[in-house]
Amino acid sequence: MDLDFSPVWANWPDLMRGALVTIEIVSVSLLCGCLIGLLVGIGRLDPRRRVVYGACSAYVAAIRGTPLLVQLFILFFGLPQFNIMLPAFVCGTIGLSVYSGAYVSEIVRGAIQSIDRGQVEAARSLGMPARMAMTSVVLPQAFVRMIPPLGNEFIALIKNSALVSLLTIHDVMHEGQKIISVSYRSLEVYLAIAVIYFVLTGATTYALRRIELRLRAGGMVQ
Amino acid sequence: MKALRRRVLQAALALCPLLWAAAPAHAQQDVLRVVTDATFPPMEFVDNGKLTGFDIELVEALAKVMGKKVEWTQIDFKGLIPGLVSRRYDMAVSAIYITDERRKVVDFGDSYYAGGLVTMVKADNTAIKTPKDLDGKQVTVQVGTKSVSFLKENYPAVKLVEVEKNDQMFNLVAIGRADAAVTGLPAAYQYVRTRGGLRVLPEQLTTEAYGMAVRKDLPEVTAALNQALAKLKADGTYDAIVKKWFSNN
Repeated sequence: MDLDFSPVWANWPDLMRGALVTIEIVSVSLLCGCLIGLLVGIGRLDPRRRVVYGACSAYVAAIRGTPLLVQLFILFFGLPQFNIMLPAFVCGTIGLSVYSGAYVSEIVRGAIQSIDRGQVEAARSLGMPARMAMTSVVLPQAFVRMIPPLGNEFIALIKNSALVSLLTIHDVMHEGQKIISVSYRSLEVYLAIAVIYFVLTGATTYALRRIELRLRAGGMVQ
Repeated sequence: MKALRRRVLQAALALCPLLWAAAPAHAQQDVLRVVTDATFPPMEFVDNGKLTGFDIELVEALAKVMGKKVEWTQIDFKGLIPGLVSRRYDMAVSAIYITDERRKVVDFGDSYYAGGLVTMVKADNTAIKTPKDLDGKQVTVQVGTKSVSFLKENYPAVKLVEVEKNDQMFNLVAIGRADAAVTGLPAAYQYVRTRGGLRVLPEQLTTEAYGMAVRKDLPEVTAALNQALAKLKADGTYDAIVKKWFSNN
């Protein structure tokens, strides 16, 4: 076994700069993805509202049914041919947000539909308007149930973000590939990248676990 | 929930200017937007955080003659041509071979260098002077590369020693287990430049023309590029850059 990690240590600041870019792009996409997911998930609750339901379903089907790489490619290389020239970072964020939003929307819908109908009925019979019953009674309870599957989704998002290195974004994967090209130490560099992703996903898992415990302790679940 | 929603919105809005600040400067007359995949030493690579290599120095010199400033962007090799087709960049320089397929979607300036397969021997080897001397010798090649099929077809008397990795190949020649190695020109000179002990034979086995790819809708850039290249070749700048990156000393 001939392992030499010196290229990793020598270029550690570059890897950290890349990790920071990964954190930036993931945090923005995570936030926007959750917002999209919340709206689309609610939009898919009631099939009788044909237009909203149809539009949201089409979005989820199109995004989940096509590869993220292709979506990013269309945003970055396709749109400019229609004179829409978005900067690389914006393309990356939009791509990841829209992709993640489709998955989050199903998590949101599943969690909301898992809340007992009696909860809405009770709220409505107390005279709450439908919107208030949703935001004050159903969503807070559904939120706790969303946390475990959201954790899955966030972890997937962190790892999917490696694809944005294709769009000239210098994330941790891109920095790693540059180091490999001069040191030829691919195994060592990829191992270091794996550790960095593991720390990022681990921190996310830990944070979500804390939030979940806190909400449960706060009595936000039956 | 409402307060939370407002806070999320505020955060999203606050981030917006950050996003737009990351936008590249918009197309200017005196700027040449060039893309490269900086993972191919010595043609283009990142050394101590700085973009460098044969292609990089040549483009900088050409741009100086053209009176333009180069704005470099690093991209994966498969993104080079799409980057030009989408008009994001003006020029792609990344050890790109001129091919008819590529010519259909981009223009090429005059070839600025010839790559291809070369022979490497120990620096003090005097028995092998040209590729013809390889007959009956132990020649090491990397499995699965073009070198293997090329030697089998054109130099059937050569005894092939196939290895998995590039550095094993160089190593076999350096310790004397093989008489010569056949590999691509850039990798060969990169080894000579950084490690030494071997030398590249002047006569190449194959040649393939490297070209700078330019957007099809910028014929004036291609023309200016060719003029600038001719000027650099005439005044010796070109030779100096070639000597710096591709020589046995």
